[in-house]
Amino acid sequence: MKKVILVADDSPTIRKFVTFSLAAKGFKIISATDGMEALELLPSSNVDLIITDLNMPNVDGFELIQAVRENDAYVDVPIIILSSLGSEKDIERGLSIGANSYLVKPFDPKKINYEVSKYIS
Amino acid sequence: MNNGKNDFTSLGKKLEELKELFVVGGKIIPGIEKLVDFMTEIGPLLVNINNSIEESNAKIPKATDHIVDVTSATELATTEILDLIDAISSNTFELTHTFNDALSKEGEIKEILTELALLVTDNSEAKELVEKLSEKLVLEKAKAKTTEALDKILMDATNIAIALQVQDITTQQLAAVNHLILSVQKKLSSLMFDFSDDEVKQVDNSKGVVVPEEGNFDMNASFHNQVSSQDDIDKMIIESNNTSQDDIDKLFG
Repeated sequence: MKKVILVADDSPTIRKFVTFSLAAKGFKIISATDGMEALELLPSSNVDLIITDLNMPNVDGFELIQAVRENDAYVDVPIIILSSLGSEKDIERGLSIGANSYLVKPFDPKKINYEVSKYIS
Repeated sequence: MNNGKNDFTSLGKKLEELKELFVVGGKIIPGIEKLVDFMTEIGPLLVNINNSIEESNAKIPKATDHIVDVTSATELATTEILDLIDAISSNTFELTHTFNDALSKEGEIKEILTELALLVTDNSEAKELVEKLSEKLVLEKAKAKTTEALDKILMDATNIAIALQVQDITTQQLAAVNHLILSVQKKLSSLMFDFSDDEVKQVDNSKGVVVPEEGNFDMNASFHNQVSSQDDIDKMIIESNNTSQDDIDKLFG
């Protein structure tokens, strides 16, 4: 059975690029345009890993990570942040609230594949 | 009698005060006249300024609409290009697979021809035909060049896709500009509010423009060297997780 990756990003370009980078490796990619949609998709999607942007409308990446980590059902789901925010403060905040990895945009498909392979295969 | 004298003294004082007032008034009146002239002259100028502000204010929604249109158009174009790149990559993978299949089949044919050559050692004509046939098998010779070319196509496609991420950065920069324009519009609206009792005019959102909220974009987003910035982040994560840098180096080595 294909492992499911949920990509939350308001940019269609980035959602497409993540799909381009990971779909060839046999993952099933589902995408959400913001944190709110991602939270709505979680219960029905059996997600194995989450890749999320930080700057998003409605529910941003930080709020999404917090909500995921506060829910016992998804507490162990690996989370990779994919953001153009690359300051030390943002990285520390992202990791401290429960993200497992942090990738800065623009990113290399090899790098995202490597990060994903650390948690699921 | 005394009362009458006092009244005259008091009247005299009042007249003296009135005289002083006229003297002061005489000095002030030219100033007031100048002020009135100035106000009369500046009135139309203020109306002009107000009209200019109103005009500029009215153009702002159009400007933000244009920016949103540009964002949408580049977004659409980028996803279309990414679709094409995806198709090119898939086709290249398929081509590589097909070539490897053909190469494997050619290997089998070569083995058969070698066996056949051993069987026809007495038949010079057949031997010659086997040799001619062997010479026609060129895939093995073309393997290095073909693999190199296919790998290059894949690498180029990936590099184009990476470069296209600039669209996301541009979108964030445009969102920041839009936000700035809308802030200016608010200020202009409040200026107009001061000039007249009209209500503050809102942005015409007839086109369903999504006005960017601060926080939905990175105002400092830039398209920079991805490797160096990611390296810094990896170092931070390694420091906090004790993850091996060798693992990351191996990937890009």
